[in-house]
Amino acid sequence: MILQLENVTKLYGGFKALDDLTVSIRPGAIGLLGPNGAGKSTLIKALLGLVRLTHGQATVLGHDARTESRQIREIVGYMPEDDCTIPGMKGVEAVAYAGELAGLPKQISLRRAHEILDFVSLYEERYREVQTYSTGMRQKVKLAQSLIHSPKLVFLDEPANGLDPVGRERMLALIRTLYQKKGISVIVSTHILGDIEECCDAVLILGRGRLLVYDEIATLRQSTDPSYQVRFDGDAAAFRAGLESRGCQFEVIKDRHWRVSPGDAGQDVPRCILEAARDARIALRSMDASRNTLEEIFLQAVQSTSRSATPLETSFTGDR
Amino acid sequence: MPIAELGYRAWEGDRRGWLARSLTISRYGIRVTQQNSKLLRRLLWLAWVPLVYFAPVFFAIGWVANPENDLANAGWLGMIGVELLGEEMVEAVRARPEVLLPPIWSTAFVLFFAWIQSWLAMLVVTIVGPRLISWDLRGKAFLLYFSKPISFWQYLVGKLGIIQYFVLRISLFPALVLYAISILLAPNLTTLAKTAPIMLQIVIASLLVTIPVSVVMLVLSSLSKDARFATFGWIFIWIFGEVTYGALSFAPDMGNGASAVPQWAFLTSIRETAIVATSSAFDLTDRLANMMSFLRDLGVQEQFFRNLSDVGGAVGNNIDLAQSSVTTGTAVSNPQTPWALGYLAAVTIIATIVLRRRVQKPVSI
Repeated sequence: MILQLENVTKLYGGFKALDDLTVSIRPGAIGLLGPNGAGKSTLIKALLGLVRLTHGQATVLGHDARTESRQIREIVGYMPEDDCTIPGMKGVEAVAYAGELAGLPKQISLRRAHEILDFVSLYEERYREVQTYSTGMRQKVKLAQSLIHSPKLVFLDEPANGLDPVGRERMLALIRTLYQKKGISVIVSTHILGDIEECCDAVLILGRGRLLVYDEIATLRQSTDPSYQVRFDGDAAAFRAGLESRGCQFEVIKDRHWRVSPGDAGQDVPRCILEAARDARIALRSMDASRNTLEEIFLQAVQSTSRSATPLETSFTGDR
Repeated sequence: MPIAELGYRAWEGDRRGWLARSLTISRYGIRVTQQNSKLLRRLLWLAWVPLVYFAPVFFAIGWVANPENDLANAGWLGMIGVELLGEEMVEAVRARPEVLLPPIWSTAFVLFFAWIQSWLAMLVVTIVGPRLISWDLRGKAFLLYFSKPISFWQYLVGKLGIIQYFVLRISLFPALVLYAISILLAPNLTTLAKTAPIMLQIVIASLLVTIPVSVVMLVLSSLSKDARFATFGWIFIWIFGEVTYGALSFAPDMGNGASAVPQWAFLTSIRETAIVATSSAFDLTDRLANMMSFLRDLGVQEQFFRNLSDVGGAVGNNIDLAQSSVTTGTAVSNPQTPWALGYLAAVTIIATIVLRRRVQKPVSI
């Protein structure tokens, strides 16, 4: 396990930023999701030992977050959401500096800075001052700074923030590579659900400081919904009559784009659709089994907490 | 294999120790600071200018103090020495250099700090200090530091190291060179052994002055993202302190012969307080008293002290105390010393507590 949390609670005055979290996280690429104020940043800072837990116990790679925060930070990398720049430093210096702060000898730190900047594809620009960089370049420098000391686990806070589509694809590819080829576990905190779907195997969803979901994305996406979505051209009324005569239920999503689900008798939906389409002489353009998207999983999880409390602020961007 | 294809490789090796990481912060800070300030670079050169005056003085005193040198054929160097010390004093110094040279040099070193280097140190702190933490606040660099295995104390030592480097470059390094020059013409090796503690005292005196001043500057720097506020704050503390001390020092006599200058007046100026602490590091009162007592036994007029009679401030106070000690025949300690040391210690501790809160707040929320 890379993380083990037992009844982890963090109070800021009377506000519960983390509320009795208990979970064990396996190695891999894990997405950390949650609306604003869900406790994502607090959790990361608590695991790095920057925030003191009020109750509970957290271990990171076998080290206690309360008493061994220094050892944790020796083997864990952190890429913060905000730019962390020191005026006057060039890209390669900023990365080598991070390495030396982590205890690497000067020469080794400089050599590794060059290697990692190659890895994140920051080439000649590394000799320019970081202040002159574009957002994408700054993200690369921050990623390189989090990797310079050879961590076994990295926390990435909004790694694709502010990147153009090409830059985002490259960043996500790098994150995939980290776990799949380099064996570094990654925890990606982001609002962009699509990023999690692209680069993570598992997802941890927080809401109001509580654990809502932790599972493999593939497992979560396995559909329990027997409905199908169909798109067609032709006589909608005849198709509708055909479905009704076979006992199927349907819902119009948009004009000739319907969701068809079985009736009380548990009909075989694909068979009903095909027969009704043949009888109505319509052209079926597509027929897809319904599938849970991460967005739906996220909304369901968040809404389940909002039912028992005041509505949560949901500010994610489901741009997938 | 081209370097571009090396990619990411894990590294397993020994990490460096506690101090090395602080020194990393200092080293990068020094380089960036030096790159960004042309004024600072000029000031670092300017700090050596006082040596143009003090080096010949030390050289001359050392030359005349050596009994092997013939004063009858003294060149301009010898004449400077005789002029500075007075003829009677020169004879005394030539008779017992090991007794008289240390207090003379101590006085000269304190004057070197008090008259010149303390002002330059304040100026260097004004140039170097304001950006040190305010730029970290502005660039949100705290997370870079504290997400690495760096503690607050390592960060503080690293940042202090930046100011210390520049302040010591303008105070300690010239003082050590001055000491080396003074040793060059020492009459014999016994003098070197007798005066060796001065070198340690130079280091202690420099740290006594620079550590409290640097911590206060860092606190000011941590109060705002805009370095200009720290600069204005520092200049206010410095200049306001000097003006207040100056006003109190020139207060009119009470008319009954008692001075109206309060004993605590020096505490209003952080620079003057540092000078009091510096004189205590050099054991100035005791050394001056010993020298005066010795001179009296020889029947030598205290021309040297009459030359310094109008020095005033911390040095003048030490001369007064030493004279009083010799007159009464009892040991007199400088009552200002515990106040100065206590004040500097209190300022350092309070400033460190404030600094810790200011630095840790941004990462703990």
